[in-house]
Amino acid sequence: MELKTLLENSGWEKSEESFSPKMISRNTEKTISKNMRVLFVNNYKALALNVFFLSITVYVYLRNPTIDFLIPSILVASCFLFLTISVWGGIVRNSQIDRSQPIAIVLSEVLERNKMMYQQQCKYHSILITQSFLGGFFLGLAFQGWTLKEAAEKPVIFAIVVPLTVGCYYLTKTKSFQAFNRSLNPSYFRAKASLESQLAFLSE
Amino acid sequence: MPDKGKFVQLIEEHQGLINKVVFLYADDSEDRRDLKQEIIGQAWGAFRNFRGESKFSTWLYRVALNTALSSLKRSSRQKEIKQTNASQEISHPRVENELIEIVLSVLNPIEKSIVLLLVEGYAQKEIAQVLGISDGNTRTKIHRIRNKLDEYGIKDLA
Repeated sequence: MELKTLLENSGWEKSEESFSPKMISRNTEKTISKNMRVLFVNNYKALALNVFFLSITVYVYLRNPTIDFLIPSILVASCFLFLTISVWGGIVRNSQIDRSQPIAIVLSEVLERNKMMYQQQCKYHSILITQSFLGGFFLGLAFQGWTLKEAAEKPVIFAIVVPLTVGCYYLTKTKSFQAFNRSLNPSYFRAKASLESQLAFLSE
Repeated sequence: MPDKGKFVQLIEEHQGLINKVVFLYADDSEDRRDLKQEIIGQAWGAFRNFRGESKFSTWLYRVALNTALSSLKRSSRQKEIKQTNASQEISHPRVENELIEIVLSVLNPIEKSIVLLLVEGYAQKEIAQVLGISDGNTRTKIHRIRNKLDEYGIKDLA
């Protein structure tokens, strides 16, 4: 049996919807957005979550525009902003890879840019999580009606927040926390493993 | 700025090529539509680098295969593989389609690329250039693919 005949019999060359000049032209205009959606599905999820949390934080401040809400809101919002910009930058950099290069080179470049972005986020993740915790803590106090001045005058607040913040920082450094963090995004690691295996197969 | 009119015309002429790549790498109609649009978008993005040193079809295969391979989506075709009886009568369209599904599920994404190029009549050297690996490495891979397909009763590629 010949594979080409089998494939031709199955109509592999045909399509449910054929290309019209208008449709081709429309797709050239959507290059960037399509690239982003398909190539970095996982990053889009991350991007959407970060934008969502960033919006919530900004909304909380706008509802309570006082210094007691502003400082913790900035602490939290800057973390989400950093992650959002970082993910966005990664997506844009990835979409700039020239797909007309040989397959081995493209796969290496996609993996390399993925790694760069992941490392950039991992490098700061302990600081970001701790900062978010601290911001969240003071936002919680603000919701309870505490002003920052009042909080600063109570030693008990320091006795609670300092060990918790330090504990939070070291907790995020542990291997078990990092494993938990990874488990939240299994499809990213599966996809990365799939690309790595393709590249390894090419060099076998 | 690349000539968009020329690009649209070339894509129209080569839509069968894109459909073949999409057939091999996308499972359902939504994935097929997404991949097709993505290939056109990527091809347009890279078109300014097309110098005509290779045939447009070879260049487009490279873009289409790279787009499919790096789309990071896992194919649902990677499911449990049932061994077929090679001596089974396969002239029936349903059986033929099942055989294609099985063949596609036993080949990894890179092997599918090699099979596609072989079926399209590309020489070993050209395939090596598309993949970015040596001739010897390509030869070994082609040999392994032939052996693999032979187990499913497929004696010839093209």
